[in-house]
Amino acid sequence: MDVLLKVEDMRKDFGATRALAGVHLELRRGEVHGLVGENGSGKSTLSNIIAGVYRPSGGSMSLDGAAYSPQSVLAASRAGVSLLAQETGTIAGMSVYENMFLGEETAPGRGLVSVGRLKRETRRILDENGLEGIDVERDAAEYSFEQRKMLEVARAVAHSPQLLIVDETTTALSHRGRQKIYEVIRAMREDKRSVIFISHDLDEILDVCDRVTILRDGQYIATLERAELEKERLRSLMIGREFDGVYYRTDAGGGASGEAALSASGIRLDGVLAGVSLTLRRGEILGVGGLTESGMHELGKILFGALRPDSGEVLSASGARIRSTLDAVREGIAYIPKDRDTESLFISANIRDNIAAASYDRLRRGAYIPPKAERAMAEELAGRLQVKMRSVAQQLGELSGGNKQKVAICKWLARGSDVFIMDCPTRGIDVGVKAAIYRLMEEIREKGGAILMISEELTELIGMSDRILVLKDGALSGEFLRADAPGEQDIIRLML
Amino acid sequence: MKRLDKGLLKNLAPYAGLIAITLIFALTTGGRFTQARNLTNIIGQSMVTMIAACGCTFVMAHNNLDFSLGGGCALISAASFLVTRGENLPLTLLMCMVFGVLCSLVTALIHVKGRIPAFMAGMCIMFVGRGVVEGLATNMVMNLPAAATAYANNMVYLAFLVVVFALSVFVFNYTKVGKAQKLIGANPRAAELSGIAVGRYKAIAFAISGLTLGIASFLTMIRIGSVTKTIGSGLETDVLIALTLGGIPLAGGTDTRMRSALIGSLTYYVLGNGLMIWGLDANVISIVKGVIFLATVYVTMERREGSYAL
Repeated sequence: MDVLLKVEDMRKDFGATRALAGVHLELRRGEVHGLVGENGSGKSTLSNIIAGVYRPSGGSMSLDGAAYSPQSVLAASRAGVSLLAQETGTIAGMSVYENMFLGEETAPGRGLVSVGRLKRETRRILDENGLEGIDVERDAAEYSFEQRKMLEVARAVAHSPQLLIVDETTTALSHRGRQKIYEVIRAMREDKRSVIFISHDLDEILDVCDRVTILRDGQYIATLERAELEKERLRSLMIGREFDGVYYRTDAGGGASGEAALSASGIRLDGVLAGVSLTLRRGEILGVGGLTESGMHELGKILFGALRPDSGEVLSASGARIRSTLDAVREGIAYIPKDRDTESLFISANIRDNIAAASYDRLRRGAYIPPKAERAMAEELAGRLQVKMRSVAQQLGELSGGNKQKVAICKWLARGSDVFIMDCPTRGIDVGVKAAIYRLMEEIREKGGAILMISEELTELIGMSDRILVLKDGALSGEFLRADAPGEQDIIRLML
Repeated sequence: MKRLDKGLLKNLAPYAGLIAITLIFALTTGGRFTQARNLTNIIGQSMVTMIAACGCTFVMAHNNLDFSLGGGCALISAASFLVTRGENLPLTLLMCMVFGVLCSLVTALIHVKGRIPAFMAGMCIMFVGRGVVEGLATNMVMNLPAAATAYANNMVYLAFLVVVFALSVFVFNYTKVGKAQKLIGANPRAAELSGIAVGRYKAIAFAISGLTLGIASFLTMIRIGSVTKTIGSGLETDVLIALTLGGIPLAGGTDTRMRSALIGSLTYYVLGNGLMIWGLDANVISIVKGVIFLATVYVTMERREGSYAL
């Protein structure tokens, strides 16, 4: 069998945290190789090492039979390895063509940078990838997350890499965006080139991959051949025990009181929302679904006072107007943003400071905030949500995505908030933590709290909501009750 | 264990630096550095900077620089003098504190409401203050009564320092005001989305900086015995370099420590004093300080692996 990349006994430590403890990977030419595992299992670390972002602490790699140890992303890219990262990889403030040739401006010619040439080259690459609508001279930041992602895809493909690593890129994209990436992957395979594909969506893994390697806690677990691929088997190898399959709520819904926990009327935001009114009641999980650009994410921010609408008003349970995040927090409203690293968490701070961040007014005795009380509160909550950590003094940035999300929720439980606005609460989170978050949502609901859950995952909307509102082009296009037992197709019809 | 060791190293580095240069100067100056008079001199010089640095730490914790300190000091001293003529010292001190807070609130207002970087707003105060006081000092003599300078001794300075530092430590570590600064420095957007009034808390940090600047201005004034053209000049850079030598994280955040104000100021003046005893030219001292400043920034700055990744 023709092997392109061989990874042997790969190890990586971040401070005291062991991210990889001896991982093997053998990648054949012309195969799409899946990499799966829970959050913190080491998938991203491994792909970052292969792509030259991190330097390993031990172990070796060979590419095409020759020793391979890239010292930078550029070196990896010259060796034929490209990475499509989880988060966005374009730089705001730079034009599209500058982004396209970042770090290798001289590539099309020799010596001096010819701007005209860069622009022509960029135009050609974009056109080849069906991105005719993108202007090469405009700032990359003017385009949506999805368009920027497509730009990265075009950039990665333009180098005709031997190996393309797709790290959890597809989950944040729309159906169209996903199809585009699948197309690229198929073309790679036909060319006898290889792909490493990382995703939390096991259905997607089964659809796309030829073979799959499973990681758990930084350890190599197994590599399954095409014929052995089966969802339940992958799942149990990932979490190391049989998964019982009960994931979503099993009750029939109902039980919402008549009491409004949060209500909005006539919310307008120029070009985004065209007059949305809704009421979230105590004892219910209200799902909000739609396409990414339907305005649902902006709606979540407006409900929390983090974004000012052009007109319309948001009222809390007590009837107070919500005009700022301060108003919202005071009224017991919590917000879990989609982008947790930049909007919800303090990455460089420790877990204790993250959990206490919204609760200083509850902790203080006069002006004094007793450190013991702060610590006890953080330990109590982190314990209750079973955050995987060494202690609450550990730096938050060292935690995996799922555990970070738990901390983000701890922050609001500490505050005593019981009306939650959750924007994609399980984005990029593995099955174990996902189930824990769902159980927690049920608990909040049963205790008379309320949750407004914005989600891009239809199964999650259907599985968790008492009521689903569908948003299309900034306006409500339909509503389903849990009792209606809507199917995915019913919802999609109203989204498009 | 690499990260842990690095963290420990960063914590100990400011102490190690101070001890190292103290030892070097003690051993190479033939006892001149360690003379009691020289040491009290260093401590005396550094205390004013320490007091101003305590307040400035609040501003740096939320990731801003206060460049108004020097010009602010001039404005505050002159304004207080015009009100009291230095006759009533407690009242002069009070006026210094009031004008200090007002002056910093102007900086904060321009920064928060006008969305202009705080260091630029501060520079504006610096230029205005310098201009106004130079003009005033050319046209009138602003001498304090002789009795005032009698209080300018190390014990009085120390008493002020102890009170300011103790209060600063308390507010910085055990109240919402201090904790909010560090969270804003760590991630301003997340702070806002956690219900922290970012603009308000930034303004409070500047007010605290203004308060300590007011005290520092008062102490400077009674030491000189008058309000001169150059009063307080260079204070903003003295404080910034001192805090940096004291190991303060340049981008603020939860690793900010109040002790940087003390250790850093001491290091800064030990360095200046030792180099002078070595007989170095003032210009050369300036260059050496610059190099050491750069080296400290290099050591303290947070650089993450892969942070340059495309």
